[in-house]
Amino acid sequence: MKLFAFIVTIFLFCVTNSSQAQSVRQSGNAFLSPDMLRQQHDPTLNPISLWLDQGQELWKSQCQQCHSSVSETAKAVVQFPIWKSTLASSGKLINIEDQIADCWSKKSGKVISNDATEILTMSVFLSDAAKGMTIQVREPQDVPMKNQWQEQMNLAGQIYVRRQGRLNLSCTQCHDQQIGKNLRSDVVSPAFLTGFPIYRFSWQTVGNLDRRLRACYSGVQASVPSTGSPELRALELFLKKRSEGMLWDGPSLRR
Amino acid sequence: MLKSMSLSLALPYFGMSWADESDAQYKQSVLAQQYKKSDAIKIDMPPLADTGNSIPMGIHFQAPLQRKMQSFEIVAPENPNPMVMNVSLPTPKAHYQFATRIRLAITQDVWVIATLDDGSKMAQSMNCVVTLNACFDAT
Amino acid sequence: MATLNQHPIRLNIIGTPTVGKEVEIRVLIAHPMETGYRLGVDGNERIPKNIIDSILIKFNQEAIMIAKLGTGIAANPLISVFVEVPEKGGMVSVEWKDDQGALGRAEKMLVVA
Repeated sequence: MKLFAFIVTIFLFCVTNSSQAQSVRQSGNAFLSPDMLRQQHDPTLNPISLWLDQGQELWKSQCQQCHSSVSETAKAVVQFPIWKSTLASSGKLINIEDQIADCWSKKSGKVISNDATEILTMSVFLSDAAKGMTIQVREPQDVPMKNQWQEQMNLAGQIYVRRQGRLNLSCTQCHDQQIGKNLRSDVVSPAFLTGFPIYRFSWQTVGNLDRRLRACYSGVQASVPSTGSPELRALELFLKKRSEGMLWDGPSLRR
Repeated sequence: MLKSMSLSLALPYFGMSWADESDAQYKQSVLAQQYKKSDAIKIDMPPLADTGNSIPMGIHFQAPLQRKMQSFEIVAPENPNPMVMNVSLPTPKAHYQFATRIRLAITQDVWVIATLDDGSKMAQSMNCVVTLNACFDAT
Repeated sequence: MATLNQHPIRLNIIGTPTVGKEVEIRVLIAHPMETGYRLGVDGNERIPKNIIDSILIKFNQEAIMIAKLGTGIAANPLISVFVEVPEKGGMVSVEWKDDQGALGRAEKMLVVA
């Protein structure tokens, strides 16, 4: 009898815990108004479809010759940022825009920045192709690389809980403790990375995660790291790992 | 060729510049005094906008007494440029539906002023509350 | 390198075109619609004004709507008009012009169901 009671307790504990874990993680799309969701789901209304049309053109003319399958290439979207070794014992984190820019530069022979329209358009296109895939961050296999990767993760974890800026706020204070509350017209989301790049109405254009993170630093009135800085890549890795297991939404609308 | 073709078709229509028109006539107080609101125009717009940068707006017009509408204007009196849009129909219509997305600088009444084929005007307005973005974005 | 289209445009016909009934024509144009009031990244200069001035929608070569736009229209403008479907259907075309001189157009055949 006692053993039976014990088994039942353990079972209930496991069941309730697992259902709780699944129901807590919401993508940013759950915080959009019905009007915005309607705009997002209708490709004739959604401004992102203009970037997708462009992306389709660019894919056919520039990328298809080497990357034959869109869905295979799009798998990278849910696996990045990855650790790229530059020298024998060192490396750095690169995200999907870095990878696309690298590929584009090699192919065209000219250096191109992450903020270029072509790179952003390809990122939107691949993000759309990755809709429905499960986020699974790719870890380095090599042990010294793995240690450095872990170091970046730890660094980012510290940034996440560190108070910064004139407003003296840390990421966790809003994105873990004030979810669903309003900041004037914005609604605080738990900041899972399921819907990047985003079309933000306040930007009136599409932007990548790099830009959004910089906007967040600016929002708490901290000094804004420059585009592509290692701090931003580490933070992206941390946030992606935090979103692991969630389904990819594809490029989304935001306020 | 495309350019010249488009321009030649465009010239009779795209002549006037709005810089010539005075904004004083589009102030809220002037509009409220000059125009009486009419049920012939229905404005479909959210009373509380998600963002001031893009507010979906629909206009539904049903002309009374067998008249027809030949043009209409969307006016936002508190915007830096109050004239949002001016639509003219080469063939006047008795029944018209239109939708677009507008920008509003602050909370205000958005006016739609329709001109009928005999020159008379009908108007309707709707209030829209606009809350600004909270965070300062330096990017 | 493929030339990137500066201003992609989407022209859609919403609904099934039935003779005698109205069908919706939706136009979505990629354009920043810069008002001229926004400040640049360094906070010193204003980004120059660049808006679509005018949009012309034609059905079977006959103009059905002429719109003059101001800064109050949202970026990546969306215009939705209704047109009555004639017996044989027809060609819907959109032309737009902005204040920097850029032009764009799109065409779509309206086929009666």
